[in-house]
Amino acid sequence: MRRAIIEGIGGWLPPRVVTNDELAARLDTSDEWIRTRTGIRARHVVSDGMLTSQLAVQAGAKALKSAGTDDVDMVVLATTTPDRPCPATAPEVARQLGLTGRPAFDVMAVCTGFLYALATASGLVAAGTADRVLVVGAEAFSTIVDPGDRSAAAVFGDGAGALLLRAGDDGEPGAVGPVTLGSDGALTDLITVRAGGVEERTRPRPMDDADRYFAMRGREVFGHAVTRMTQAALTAVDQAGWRPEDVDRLVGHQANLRILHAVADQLDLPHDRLVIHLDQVGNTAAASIPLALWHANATGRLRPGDRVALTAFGGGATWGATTLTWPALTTV
Amino acid sequence: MSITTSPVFQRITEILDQKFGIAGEDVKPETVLEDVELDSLALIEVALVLQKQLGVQIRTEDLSGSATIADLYELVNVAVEGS
Repeated sequence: MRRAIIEGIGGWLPPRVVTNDELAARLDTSDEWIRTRTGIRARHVVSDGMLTSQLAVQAGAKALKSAGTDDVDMVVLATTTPDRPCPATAPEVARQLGLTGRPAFDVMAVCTGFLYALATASGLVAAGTADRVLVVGAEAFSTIVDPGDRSAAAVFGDGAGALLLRAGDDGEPGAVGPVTLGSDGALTDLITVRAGGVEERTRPRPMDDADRYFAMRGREVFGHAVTRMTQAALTAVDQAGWRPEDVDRLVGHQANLRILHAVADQLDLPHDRLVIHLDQVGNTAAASIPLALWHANATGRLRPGDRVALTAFGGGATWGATTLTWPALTTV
Repeated sequence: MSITTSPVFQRITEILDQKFGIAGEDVKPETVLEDVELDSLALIEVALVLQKQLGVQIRTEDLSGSATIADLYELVNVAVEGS
């Protein structure tokens, strides 16, 4: 059966690093407070004028180089932080990659965005609509974080990760497994930027300045995230015909170390099967899963033949998971 | 029957000891969770472990940082009895 196969991987982080100590110098927080609550030590952030499209192009170009091809017939970009509210950012990414004319569009499911984009792209490959699709998760998330919000400023970071998918057969290493996805609109307010959309534009008066920034009800998110990421992973593993203990590497959305540990506990997986990248980059929302995969591939934490489960929870609320057997990929 | 001899309370005591290193003598019904270094996320972590072990749904969003062990017990007990 025709399936999407991962054949290239790329990641890119903006050079500017913000350490916990640097945050502690301007906010009421400390390295210890941030580390014990989140597991995060540092995050990368964009410099003035750096756009999400630029991050996406850097990661996308690396994914193409990793696969040794520049022949792509579609670009799907997962982002919460598009360059503009309108139009989508993906066409500009495609143009900068020399892919003008190819279909390109954005997918928005916040921290689950990459799995939604992966489901869309692999479905289009499986259906024969496209033979080779570049799937990118890119975020300049620091631009929507209130600089005075010590929780959000500590957690979120910027970056981009990309996978290149080609048409192949199921059974090949790197074949993207069935993707399970879900959402619950009753949880819209849990993770949100309230202002800037129609809800604000149809009001007689603008919203407060605080509403222009990202807001998250952290404690509630924690419980929902663990529950949904666990359930989604169990569904995906079951659809693959695996048992939970068959998972060699669990790559969860890199929100918070304690969420990842709790998900592993719920799945009865030892913590050493978790791929951890958030300590170095924080929560990069839609970029977190491809960045974690890229880093793990580069460092040997992921090896060809590893059975990998991906799982995420994000704004919407949205969640999703999938499985794959890790292929041999070149890191560039 | 006093709270402290109930199986649910015993289970809470076990989890706090094994997962969070909180000694049994510190786990009293009136203990405020934040006072034994259990932050608001730890409370949810405890509830999630209980949820898995007891096979019940616990409304973790009802837990606050100022809650006591008795509050946690009550929440779990309601879930167990309702299941």
